[in-house]
Amino acid sequence: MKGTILRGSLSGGFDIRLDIGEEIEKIKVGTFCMVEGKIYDFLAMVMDEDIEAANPKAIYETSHTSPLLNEIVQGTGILDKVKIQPMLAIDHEDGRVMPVKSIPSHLSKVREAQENDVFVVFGKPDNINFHIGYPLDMEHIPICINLERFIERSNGIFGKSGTGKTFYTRIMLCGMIKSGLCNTLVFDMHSEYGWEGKDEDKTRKKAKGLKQLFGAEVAIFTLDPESSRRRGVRPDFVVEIPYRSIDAEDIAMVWEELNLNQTALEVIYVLQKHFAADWLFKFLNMPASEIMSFAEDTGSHAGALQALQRKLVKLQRLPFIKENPVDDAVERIMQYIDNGMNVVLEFGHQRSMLAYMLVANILTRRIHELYVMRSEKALSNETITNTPLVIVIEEAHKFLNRETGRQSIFGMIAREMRKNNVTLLVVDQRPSEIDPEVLSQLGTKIIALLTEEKDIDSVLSGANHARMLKNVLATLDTKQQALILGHAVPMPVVIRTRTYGEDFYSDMQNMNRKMSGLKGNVSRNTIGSGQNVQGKDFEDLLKELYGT
Amino acid sequence: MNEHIRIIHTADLHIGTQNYGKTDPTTGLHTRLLDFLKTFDELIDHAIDNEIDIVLICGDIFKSREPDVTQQREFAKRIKRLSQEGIVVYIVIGNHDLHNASGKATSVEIYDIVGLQGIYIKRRPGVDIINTKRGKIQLVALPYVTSANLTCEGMSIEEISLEMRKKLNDLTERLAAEIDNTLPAVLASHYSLIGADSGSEKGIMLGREVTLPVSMFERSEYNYVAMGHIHKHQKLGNDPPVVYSGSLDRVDFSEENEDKGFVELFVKKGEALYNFVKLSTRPFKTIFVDASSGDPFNKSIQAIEEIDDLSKTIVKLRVSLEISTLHNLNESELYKLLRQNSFYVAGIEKIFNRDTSHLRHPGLTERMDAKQALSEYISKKEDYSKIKSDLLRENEHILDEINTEAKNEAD
Repeated sequence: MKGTILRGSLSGGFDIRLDIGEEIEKIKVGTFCMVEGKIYDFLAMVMDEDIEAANPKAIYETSHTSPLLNEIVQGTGILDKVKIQPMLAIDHEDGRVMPVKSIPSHLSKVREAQENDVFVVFGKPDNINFHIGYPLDMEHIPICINLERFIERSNGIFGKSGTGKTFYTRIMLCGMIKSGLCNTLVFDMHSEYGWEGKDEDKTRKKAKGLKQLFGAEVAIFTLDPESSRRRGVRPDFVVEIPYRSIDAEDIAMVWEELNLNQTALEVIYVLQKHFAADWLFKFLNMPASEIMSFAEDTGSHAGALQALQRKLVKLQRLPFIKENPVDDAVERIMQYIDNGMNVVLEFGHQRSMLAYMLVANILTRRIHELYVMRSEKALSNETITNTPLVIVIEEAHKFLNRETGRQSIFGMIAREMRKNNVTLLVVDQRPSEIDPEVLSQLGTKIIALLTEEKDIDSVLSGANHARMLKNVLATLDTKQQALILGHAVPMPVVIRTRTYGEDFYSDMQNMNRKMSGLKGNVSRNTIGSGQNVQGKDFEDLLKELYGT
Repeated sequence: MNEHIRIIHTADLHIGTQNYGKTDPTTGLHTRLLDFLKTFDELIDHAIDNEIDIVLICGDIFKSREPDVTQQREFAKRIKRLSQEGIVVYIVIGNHDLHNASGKATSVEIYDIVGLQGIYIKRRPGVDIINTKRGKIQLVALPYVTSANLTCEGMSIEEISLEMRKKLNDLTERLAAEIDNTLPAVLASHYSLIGADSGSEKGIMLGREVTLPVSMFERSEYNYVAMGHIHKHQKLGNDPPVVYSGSLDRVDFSEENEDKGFVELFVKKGEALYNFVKLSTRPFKTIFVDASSGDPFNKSIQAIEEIDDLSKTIVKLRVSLEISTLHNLNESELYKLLRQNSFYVAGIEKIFNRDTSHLRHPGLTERMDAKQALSEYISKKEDYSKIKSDLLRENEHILDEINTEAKNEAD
């Protein structure tokens, strides 16, 4: 793509007149180009294309039956015009990247962006700049996302179902785990992150899970050990939730799933006040006569109590809720996280919204409490380091909707940003149902195709050039294309995401740190899943660990 | 053969631990050494009496990696006894057995050199098929690794231990691949597992050494996973059981309430039954005395005399008292009494309660607002208790007035 600036404004973007001989059909919306100004280079993105005539008459006077005439006017009388939006300015002198505050002059040259231009802006791939994909139609240039900035805030991954949200999440998780910048805790509703999951492309093998890629850096916890084992997973810990740890707040969170009304919620608070931590277990096992007397004592409505008891029986049917679990799940999760591991909690067959929300809420609430305490301690004592934790939740609109989102622990985490070193990565297909206040706090958004007008509006609210980005969003492919905007990228960018396949696996497993063991030249590729490797490699590994 | 193979699983003998003891006047040996040897003897007696096939020691034979010759001799005697009885001894090297210098021998390597029948010293990982009279069994060793082998410049301790975890994970994958599924298999190893309740050594180890996830060991290839390193007996995995046998003797007071002993294991293909066998280990006892009020000396004497028999026990007295009553605590008398009654006195610990007597109203803090502070103040003054509600109401009026005034001024 070659052209020159035809006209434009800072707010409305520039019109580019394509040079004669350039084919407009080859230029796709979302690609990058560079405007070479006198002081700055401007990195811009193609937003729209149209055809314009110097004299409108020319459009009507030409006809496809006179090819010679067409060729004459093409590029002179009738222009192929590309609309671009400048995103960033790069200083010629010192290479600084800054927001666009001026525009290039008329007839400045415009060309396609090169690898180096992209590196200047997005950084070269390394441990912190995580290679997440490529610009559209420029598949030789890696685009990176800055992980340090990414984990500073809560983030979102959005897209209609079937657009590959799970894959984007997997890719981001891989990047975060590999970088070692943070620990991650995944509430894995459909058990698809920890161990191998379905690949939508039938021709490929099953997609590897995090445990298979990172081996000893990932632990799988499960709520349903049977289901995990059937899939060949060796879980580290079977999570059981004691009745005692279920709080009135947790129930309030799942009011919809339990079909509770406002009165019921108030009764729950009365119960909790009365019986303290044991309220749920005591209440569920309360005979009818006692309910009557309890109602009289506390002035609550007996009918409401009975109805509540009937509804809460649903909880009793959840097999992982136990009266006296052997071990405390939160403590165990924290031990794994403190030991530098990442935890994936599989739900197995317990994938009802009720189970998912209840467990995620209970665990997150207590983990958050711990992190708040730690970050307070870390303030007073500099030797304590508090590694950031990223919590991944799916179906986020259920947790963060307008009714419950504000008070819920997830809403709180999303709003307080990195203060306590806990952030969220929310995965969702209905962003319009998420509390706008929470949505506006998300640092970086990775957005796959959305078609619903409301959803598009809500994810783009507050973004610069929202109107133009909307255009881009609506034209994304259903697969492997996403728009990234926010804190971790210097400018909004449409990418073709990396393929979650063999190349990606070997990249993840390849240690970029050079180790020097006793023997300097042993092979550095860890094997991860440890299949079919014997003989010499095994000897090497032994030598490395146990000496000669 | 369809009989269960009988195995004793033990670990962390730590022969040569010499705290809380003295030299025994008749033998010239340290009393703690005698304690540790006596419990080990009990284990050996049990092994012989019950026709045990294999004694599995999951690391840390001695306290020091260069044990003195007396400790060596005493351990050798016992190994010989087991060997003569035809019992296989399978020792997996632990951190206390290893030298940092890779060329130096481990403290038990000598048995490998001598080539005693049925004695295995495992410094490197591997699978051994052991032929017992009750059938064949595979023993898989995963000994301890020092970080020294992996250390390189510019890496933090955490990075090294993460790196080690990765490599050990690979190693366990490959070891598992070598298992013959037609024979029963027991893995023996010496590491900290994440989630294990580490009891006494916790403070020393935290953050400095590699910790491994349970899933690395809890794999269907094994019938039982025998762990050493952590001194408290516990089970972590279920399928197969991943078990710490715990140490044989107590090292310090944090273990005073833990049962000490070994695990007796019965294995055949597809089945592993085990139970914990308690040993009569030297008891430790902390005597708590709450003397925050009253005379600390009398209370201490009373507390000591209340306990029936301390003659075999290593004791520690812990007195919580006001600093003002310290002069009443006649420590030398207490020591005398304790020495008469117990096996060994570890010491007297004094905990001073925070003295708030110089504060006129210790309950009042800066965190309270005016209302709370007033009601706290009133609650301490008996004269005011009758008119408390009136006072509070009046206080509210005054506060309101102040607030409105402040607001008016601001406007």
